[in-house]
Amino acid sequence: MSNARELSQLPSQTGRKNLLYNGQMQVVQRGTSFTGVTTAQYTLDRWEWASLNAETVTIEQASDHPSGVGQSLKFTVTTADASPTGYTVFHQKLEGADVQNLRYGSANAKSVTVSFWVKASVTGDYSVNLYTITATAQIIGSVITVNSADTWEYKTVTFVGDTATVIPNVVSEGLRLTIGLAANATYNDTDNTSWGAYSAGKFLYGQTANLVGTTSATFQMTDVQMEVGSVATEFEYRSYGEELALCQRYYQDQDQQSIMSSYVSAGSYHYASHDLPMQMRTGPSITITYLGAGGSLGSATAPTVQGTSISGTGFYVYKASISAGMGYTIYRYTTDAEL
Amino acid sequence: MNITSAQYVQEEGQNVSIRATIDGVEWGVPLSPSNRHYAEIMRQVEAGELTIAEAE
Repeated sequence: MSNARELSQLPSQTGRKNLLYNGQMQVVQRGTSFTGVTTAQYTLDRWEWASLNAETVTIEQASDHPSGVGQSLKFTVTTADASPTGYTVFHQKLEGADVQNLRYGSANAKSVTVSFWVKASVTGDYSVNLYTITATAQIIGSVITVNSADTWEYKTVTFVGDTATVIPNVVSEGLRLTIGLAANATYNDTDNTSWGAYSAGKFLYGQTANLVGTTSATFQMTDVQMEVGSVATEFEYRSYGEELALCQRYYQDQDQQSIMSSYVSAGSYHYASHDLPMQMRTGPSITITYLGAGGSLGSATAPTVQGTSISGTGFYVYKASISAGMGYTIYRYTTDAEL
Repeated sequence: MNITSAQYVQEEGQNVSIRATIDGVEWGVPLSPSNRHYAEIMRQVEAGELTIAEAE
C-alpha cells in the first residue's frame, strides 16, 4: 500500500523536463569570459547574446548563485549606450523536432512555464517571450519584474500553447526563448501577450528596464528552466557530463591535440578521419588550428577539411606531403552546428 | 555575424565548401542550408553585402 501511495505522488511528467540547455550555466566550451563584445555571438554554451544597440559588454560565467554554490551567466556593460535605438537580448534556440511534444498548431497545444533566478543592478520590467520559426513567425510575451537591485530573485512566466500554428518537425530552429535587457520603443510598443504574428513592436513588449544605458550595469541569470505545464517546479539538475553531451550536438571544442602521422611518398596526400564524440545537429562548420609539423608533412599549415566528408558524425582532413618519408602534423579543431 | 571573406573550395572541379572568415575566425563551411554559417553567407550574398570568391 505504501508503494502505491508513493507511486501516486510521483510527478506526472517523467524524463528530461527542462526543454532548455545549460540552464545551470555550467558548460563553457567557448571560454569562461567574453570581453569587448559588440556583435551577436554565442557565449556560455547555447546562450546567444544579440544587440542592435551600441553598447560594449562583458559576458562571463560567474561563480555566483542564489544557493551560494554554482554558476550564473553574468552580463556587464563596459561602455554604455545612453540612447539605445534597438534591442539587447539573450536567447536560446530550440530545434523544431525537440518541441513537437508541445503540440503547437492543435487544440492540444501545451502551456510551458519558464523559471529562473535573476540578479540585476537595474530594477524594472524585463521582457520574456517565445517566438516560433514558422512560415509566419508567431510570438507571445510577458514580463518579469526585478524589484530589488543586486539581489537574487526567482521569477516564473507561463505561456499558453499556440493552437493555431504548427512548428515544423525539423532539426532547424523551431522555437526561441528570449530574455530582454533593453529595448527602444521600436521594439516594445505593441502588445504581445497573446499569440500572434511577429512584428518588431511586439518583440520586447513591456520592457522598461534599460540595462545598457549605464556603464557597469549588470544582469545575471541561472537555473533557467522551461517545462511543460503551468507550474514552475524545482530546477532539474543535470550532471556536467550529461549537459556537455547535450551541448555537443551544437558545438564541440576538442581540447586535445590531433596528430596525423604516416609514411607518404613525395607529392602525395595523407588523410585522417575524425569521428565526433556526439553526433551534431547537421554538418558543422570546422576551424582547424595548426600547432606544429615535421618531416614529409612539415609545411607549417593545418590540414584541409575535405568538404564532401563533413557530416554530423565526422569529417576527413588531408595534407600534401613535401617529400617522401615519415611526417606528422599536430592540430586541433572546433566544430559548430549551432542554430 | 561579421563575415569578412568567403571563398569556395573545390574538390575534383566541384565546389564542396566555403572557406569563410567569420568574427575573425576562419571556418570551413559545408554547403548545407541547415548550417547557420552557410545560411548567413547566402543571406548576405542575396542582400548584396557579400561576394563569394571563386575557388583558386
